[in-house]
Amino acid sequence: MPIYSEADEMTEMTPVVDADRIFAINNKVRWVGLVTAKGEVVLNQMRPGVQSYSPSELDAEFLRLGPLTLLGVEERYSQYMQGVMEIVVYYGLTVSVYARLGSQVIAISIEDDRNALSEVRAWLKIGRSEFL
Amino acid sequence: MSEVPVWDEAKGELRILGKRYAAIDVESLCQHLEALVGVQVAEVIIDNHETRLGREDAARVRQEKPQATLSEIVSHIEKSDRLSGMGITTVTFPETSDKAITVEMSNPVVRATVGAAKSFMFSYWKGVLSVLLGKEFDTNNVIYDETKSLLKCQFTPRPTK
Repeated sequence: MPIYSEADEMTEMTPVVDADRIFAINNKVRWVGLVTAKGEVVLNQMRPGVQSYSPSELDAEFLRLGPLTLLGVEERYSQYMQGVMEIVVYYGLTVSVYARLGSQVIAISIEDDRNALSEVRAWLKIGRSEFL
Repeated sequence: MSEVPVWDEAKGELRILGKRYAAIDVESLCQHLEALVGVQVAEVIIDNHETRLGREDAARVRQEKPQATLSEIVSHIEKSDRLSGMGITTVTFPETSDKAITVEMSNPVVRATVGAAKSFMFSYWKGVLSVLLGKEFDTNNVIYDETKSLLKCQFTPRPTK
């Protein structure tokens, strides 16, 4: 899985994976965001040519605390349920997936497509072990 | 504007330096939030809120007192902390701007060095300092000295790329 090379200067604010890699998983992936464990947005990007359904300022504001809070709530069960793999939210138009990825939290928005969702979840499964 | 908290029992109103407040049990609120989302996430949620409040208050005070020095504005906000029951806050600036700023709180309302309570005590000042000094800060070395009832935190300038 191509992440940033060792030659790159990795800081807390460096995205753990770039947007193009996420868009390449499936062409139904619409948007990707990354936020640090401290709630700092390090990536908030639509797929080029795709129009967002929501205002970009709302995306940034949501990204800051939304996925972290959702994961925080569910992780209260982690010790009994062997962790939280990801949270999937089905909207009318799209599906959102939130998961921890290394030191950051990733948020991915996908067209409501079962195959695309499966591919994203499969990528996250591999990604989780890669980023540990 | 009154220099002491104004409590109007008939109106059920508490004002500190003109701004309306409600006295709440902060420790209980922090514990409840931590029980809901975990210690780390609760710390981030309160950090986000308090940093924004600190930024807004510092900008407001600077606008209201355009001739005031940095020291005078900080003193005003220290007083606000004291009047609102946070504890006795003292901000100490280093001799050179690349060093850490120290914020000490004597008799703090909450004493935790991690989690929501830590953010409640110090993230407000992170926002204040970022507006007054025009750069971002990280909080480090949060310690509580029980014998002195003193909560202490260092604010280090965030390196710019």
